[in-house]
Amino acid sequence: MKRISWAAVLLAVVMAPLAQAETLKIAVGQRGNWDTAIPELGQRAGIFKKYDLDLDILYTSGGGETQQAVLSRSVDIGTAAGSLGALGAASKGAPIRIISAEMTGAPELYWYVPANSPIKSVADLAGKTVGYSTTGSSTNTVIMMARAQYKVDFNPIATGGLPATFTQAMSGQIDVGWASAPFGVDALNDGKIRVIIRGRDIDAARNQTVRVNIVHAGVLAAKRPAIERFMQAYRETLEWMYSSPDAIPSFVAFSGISKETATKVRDEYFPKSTLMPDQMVGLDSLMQDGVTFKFLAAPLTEAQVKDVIQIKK
Amino acid sequence: MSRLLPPAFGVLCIVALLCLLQLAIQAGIVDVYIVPLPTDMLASLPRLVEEEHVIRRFGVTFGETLSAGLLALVVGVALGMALQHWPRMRRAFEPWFALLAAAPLVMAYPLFLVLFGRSSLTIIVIAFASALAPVVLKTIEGFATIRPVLIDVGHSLRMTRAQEFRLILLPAALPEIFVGLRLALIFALINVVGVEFLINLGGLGQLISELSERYDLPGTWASIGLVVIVSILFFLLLDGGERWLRKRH
Repeated sequence: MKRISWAAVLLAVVMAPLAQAETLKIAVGQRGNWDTAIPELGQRAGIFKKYDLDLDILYTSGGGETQQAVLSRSVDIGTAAGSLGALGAASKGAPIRIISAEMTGAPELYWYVPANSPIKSVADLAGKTVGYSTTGSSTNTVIMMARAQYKVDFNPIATGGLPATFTQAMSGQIDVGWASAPFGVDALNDGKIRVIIRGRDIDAARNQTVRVNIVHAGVLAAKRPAIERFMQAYRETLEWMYSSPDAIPSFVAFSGISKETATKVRDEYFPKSTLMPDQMVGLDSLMQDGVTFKFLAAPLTEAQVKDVIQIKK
Repeated sequence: MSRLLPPAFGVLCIVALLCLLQLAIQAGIVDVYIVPLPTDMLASLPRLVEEEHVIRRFGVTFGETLSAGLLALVVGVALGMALQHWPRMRRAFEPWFALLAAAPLVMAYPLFLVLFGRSSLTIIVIAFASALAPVVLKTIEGFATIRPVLIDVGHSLRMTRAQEFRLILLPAALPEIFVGLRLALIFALINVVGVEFLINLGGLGQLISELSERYDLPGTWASIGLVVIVSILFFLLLDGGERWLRKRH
């Protein structure tokens, strides 16, 4: 009897590590956004645990950093990397694989003016300076699309990140600033700024997957089952974020914004359909933009696309 | 000839290191998708010149750093001398300059943007503010550590105050002032490139930001190399300036 109990203890010790959830390191671009909060909220809700996954999440300042973290294999998965950046890296032979879409369209982007600005609508923008973050970013492509759609000859200008742009717009150094919800939503609610252009109103942007989730080809080969489980949990978390009453309080606790703002951000700026991970759309126009902004020397071939985009539904 | 040997040896060591890096990348020890081949970095230069106007950008970064450095020199040396001259003022303000030297002023760039606008002026002012403290502190140190015997010699020769300053005090303080200037230019260059990167404006910092977003690794690294060349140019200029001044005195 004693021998049997010792054997049980020994078995438990040996099996314990096997029973532990597998850890995946995730690089997430831009902490605090609704779309990039999927791994964090899913982890908090215990959804990833259900799939035997424990996420070790680190936050980067954006797509370029996320991509570097993935390519150096410092992390297993990078979320919310720019589609153009990922395709550009792939075109140069980097072992990068797109495992899902992250954001299709740009409903979270908006362009604003200070409340006292004489600019009242898009028609007033002729000759004015309109900010975007960096050349080739989604803000750059969307504002060029807006210029083409509205046929107003304004002057797009690179203004850097969100806080720097806000400073420049509010101090009158540029006429129109760009922002991505939830940034600036409180200022909108307080009437300090007014929206002039919304990303969701730009037709061409609506049909383009602007951000993707990526992995290193070597990591995909070595950890395919875990990465597939990650995507299952990712989809389930997405459903939960739009159906569970616990989602908004969890996001409020994570991001530090008010419940009203968080609800507004989800319902007005991030329609669920834009976050669906199973399809990457607008590849042709993306690749054209890639060539225009020098991310790509030429559009990827069909074989290259097949190799790079490995979205499993 | 023997004077040229040490710098030549230094250059050779750098070239040897780059060759080793090239071999390590080709052998797969270092991932080419993290660090590009040095030969690819070199090969990207003509493209950077043609497509990215790198010469103009180089000039912008060099000019901004030079402007900030010159401002720091003029204001910093004057302030340092004034503080050294009035000990009470020195006791009051020297610790603040020491704190300023350690402050990451670059983080306050939104404030500077509001004050000076979205232009090179903002970049120059931030770089100047970061470069000022080492010049002030080293100027104070330079004048404070002059051996009294030198001043006594001046007195015994019945020098005027202007002669004493020109022939004894300034030459004795020069080495420390140049140490301050070297530090100042390092601080200035770091801040110039950092702010260019952050607000997407100007010279090499902006280029590095754009190229890294495009995953143009050879271009990114070549641009970083150009920042190093800006730094080397300033050191050569300072060395030449210091030698020239010492010969005059």
